Amino acid sequence: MKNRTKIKSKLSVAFSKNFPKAYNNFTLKHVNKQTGLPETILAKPLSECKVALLSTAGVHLKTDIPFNLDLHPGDHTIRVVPGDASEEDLTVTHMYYDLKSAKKDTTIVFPIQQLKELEQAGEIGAVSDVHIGLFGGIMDTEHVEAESIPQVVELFKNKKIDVALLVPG
Amino acid sequence: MITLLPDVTEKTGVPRTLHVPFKLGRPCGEPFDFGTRKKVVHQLLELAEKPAGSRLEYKN
Repeated sequence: MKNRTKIKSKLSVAFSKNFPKAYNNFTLKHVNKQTGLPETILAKPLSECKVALLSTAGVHLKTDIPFNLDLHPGDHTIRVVPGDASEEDLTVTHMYYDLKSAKKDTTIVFPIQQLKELEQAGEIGAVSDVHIGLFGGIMDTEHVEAESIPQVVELFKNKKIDVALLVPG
Repeated sequence: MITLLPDVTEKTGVPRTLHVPFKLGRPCGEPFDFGTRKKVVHQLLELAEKPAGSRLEYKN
């Protein structure tokens, strides 16, 4: 990570910690209002559903190339996390939240272990064999909307995912 | 979707949100607090069964 990115990260994290209301307003101002999105309805009981996680907390396998935090307006590439990944296999790369807690225990941003327990208990049909990690700190979402999200949608459709649980950072 | 900033997620049009009272970077609670983690995932799945537009608050 470049020094400039490190400074930007430290300032951003300090801003969100010390001025949460201002941070909320800043973020709100930079989000485009979406309307007319298609209705989504769960077509079958949860006990028959295949469930996937999608995290924007910068989750990826330790063996993957980390998100490039030096890119402007942000690394929009996706990371696929296999369903059999354990907490020890995962890490996080992000710059807009304090990573200390997530690096200690990745389940706070990627609760895959808890999903596996629910699968074993029969409460959900199955845990997906693919999940998605994204870097959510992107100010201009043009490439995310045009490239990353269609990739995720296609992957989830091919894998017949019924429910996607979205977890921020 | 879990949300820490409900005004923001409302604007993005996410169909269902679970507002959690945790800090940024800890959307499913504190490290190694697996009891809370399980509750969050449970409540997220309950939310999936509700109609689009549902907004829930996390219950401890």
